[in-house]
Amino acid sequence: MAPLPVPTSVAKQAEQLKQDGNSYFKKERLGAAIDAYTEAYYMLGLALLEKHDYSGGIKELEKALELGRGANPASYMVEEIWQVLSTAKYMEWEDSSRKRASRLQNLREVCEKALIDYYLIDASEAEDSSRENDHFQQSEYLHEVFDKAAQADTPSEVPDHLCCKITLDIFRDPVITPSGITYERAVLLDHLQRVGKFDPVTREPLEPHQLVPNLAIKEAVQAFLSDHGWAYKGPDQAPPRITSNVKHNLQFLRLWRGLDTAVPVLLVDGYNVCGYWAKLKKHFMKGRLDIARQKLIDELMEFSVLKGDKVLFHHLQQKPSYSCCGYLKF
Amino acid sequence: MTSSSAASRKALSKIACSRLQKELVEWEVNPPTGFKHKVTDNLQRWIIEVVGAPGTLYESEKYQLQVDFPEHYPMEAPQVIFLHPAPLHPHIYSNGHICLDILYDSWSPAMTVSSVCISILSMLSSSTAKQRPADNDRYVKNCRNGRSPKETRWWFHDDKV
Repeated sequence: MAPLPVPTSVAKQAEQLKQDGNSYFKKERLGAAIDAYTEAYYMLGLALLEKHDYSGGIKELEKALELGRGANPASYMVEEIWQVLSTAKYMEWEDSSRKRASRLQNLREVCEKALIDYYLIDASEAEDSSRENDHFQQSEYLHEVFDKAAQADTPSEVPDHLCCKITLDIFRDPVITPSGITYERAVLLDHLQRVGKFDPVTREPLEPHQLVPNLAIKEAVQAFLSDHGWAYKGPDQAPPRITSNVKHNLQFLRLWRGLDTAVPVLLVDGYNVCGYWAKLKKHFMKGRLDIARQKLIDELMEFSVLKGDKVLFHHLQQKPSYSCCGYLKF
Repeated sequence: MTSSSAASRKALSKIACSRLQKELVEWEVNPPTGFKHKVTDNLQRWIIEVVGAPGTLYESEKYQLQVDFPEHYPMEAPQVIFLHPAPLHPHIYSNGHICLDILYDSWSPAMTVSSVCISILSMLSSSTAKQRPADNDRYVKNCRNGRSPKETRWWFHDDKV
């Protein structure tokens, strides 16, 4: 696999992380090694998505997710990788479904025209009006066939049996309890810890060690998603909301360590700032992220002129929100 | 312990947000009989109108429920109270607090706003006398400082009504 289209600086960072991983591995610091590998795959995946290489990016992100999950299924990294991955899969579906739809539409127009031509020839030969009815039925049926063909690409509801009773969302990592009910692993563990040691639906006593992965449901979910890519997107059209936390920001600083670190850097979690700062919020709430973003940039420009800082943007792409960092040079 | 009225003002977690959006969509398609959600842009506080079921003491009477969701919903129960005037019922205090186990100790994250509403309507429907709980005055006095019903240590000794 050759990640050619990736900018060399990013590729270098990812390579560096991989080497960090290798050296941690040799020193038997396995936790740190896995973290570095996870981060490397994650970065590579993001960079490929930036280049609109969906399938390549998805491949790397899936590796990152698998590694991250193995290390700690409840970590914020796993959640974030999942969010990016499902947005990527949605974009991939959107892309391919647009192509499918236009192919189908072309074929439909050709078929309809052919049917009309056929009818016109037919009508000129036989002066019989009974053919009109046949034609009408055929053209109805043609519509039906094409509507049916477009159905898989039409967003609708995810069937209940593929959704967790707690999240009401499609399963990612389903586990089954001794009562026979299937839940999303992370939230069920959260329930057992916070609410009580019982099955949320049946109220039978339940201990974490009794949970078993439900592989059949997991496969059913995969099968459903491969046919209905639209289901990767939740009801909110907004890009995934990322909570700012210091550890995370520090990690991004590490990714950008090629920068001149002697210059003060201000990290701005733009998405959250736009959602909270009253003067930006009014635009943000109306879905005009672009206006809120521009206003925030203007504010920060002014600020940076005063302070001479560099400003790193965090999660403030207009949509889709792929790249995690933008960089403003002053 | 932080007061849960303060906790309920904390913004919803991502899980809570996505779950409430799904509940809202489901509610709009398939609302529980006898209930109407008053549409606002506030996902964290729902105001729901309930109409007493036919053939019960509360037939065609209208009441309003206020449902506040905590940050970690559904890992924590929502706070559900009747807005003034609360129905006269042996398990409903005059300040709107409801003595119903699933809202407190017996909450489960598999329950939804819709299932809670159905439980409340069923509690109303099975009532045989329009009266306040025996300890109403004492309880309401204790709650004067704006205490949330979730801070009450409830005794659920009566499962008939």
